[in-house]
Amino acid sequence: MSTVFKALADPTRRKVLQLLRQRPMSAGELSEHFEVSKPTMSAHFAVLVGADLIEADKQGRTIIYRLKMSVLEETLLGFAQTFGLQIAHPDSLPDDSVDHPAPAEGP
Amino acid sequence: MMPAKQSPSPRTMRIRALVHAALIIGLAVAMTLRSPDYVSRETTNRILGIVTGFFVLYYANAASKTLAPLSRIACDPATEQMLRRFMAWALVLGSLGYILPWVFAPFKTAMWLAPALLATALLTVGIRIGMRKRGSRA
Repeated sequence: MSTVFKALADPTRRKVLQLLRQRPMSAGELSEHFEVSKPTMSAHFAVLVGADLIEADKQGRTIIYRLKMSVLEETLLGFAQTFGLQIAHPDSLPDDSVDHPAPAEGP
Repeated sequence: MMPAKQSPSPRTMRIRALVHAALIIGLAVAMTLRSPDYVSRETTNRILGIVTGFFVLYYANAASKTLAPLSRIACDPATEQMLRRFMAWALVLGSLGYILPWVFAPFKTAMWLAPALLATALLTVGIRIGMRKRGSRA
């Protein structure tokens, strides 16, 4: 269950799950909704697959992601979204996939 | 790096279901044999109703997740996903509707109310599937 909580702790991943509620989508279709790099999105998808919240289905050169959540997990998603849960946790994303913003230049 | 969470294999799920069925039957037999000397018939029925409802709740909760592989045979993945989620939610709410009367309602009321609420949930699922089929034919 801890992997589910960690997966739901990130707002980007929660939005991915909400998009997949509408219909299964390809990795490219999902990435269009976010302003992050493709490696970062891949890392998010990997976390969600690892938590068994989504399922990846390779169709040719395209990966289609579909929702795979129990009712309890959907309820937890709803609570997390409603209360805006965001846990700053070092395990929420692999370190090498985090986009570090450019440091602000001094005067 | 988080360890990947694996869904139980179909064989594990079948064994688990058989164990659960055996538990329910065993509990029903044990309590019936002890009734009415140690446990009243009403308490027996209430406990069995609650236990049965919890098992329905357990399987209904997981239905949307465990039936996921079947989505590959559906011609319309979006509709299949919607129906699968609707079924799971309806059965979860129906099973809660089955449990709560056994916990709180007077015994004679619980005897008809609990099955009626679960049956309503099942009927709702059937109607929804029927509506989808009718819509696809139109």
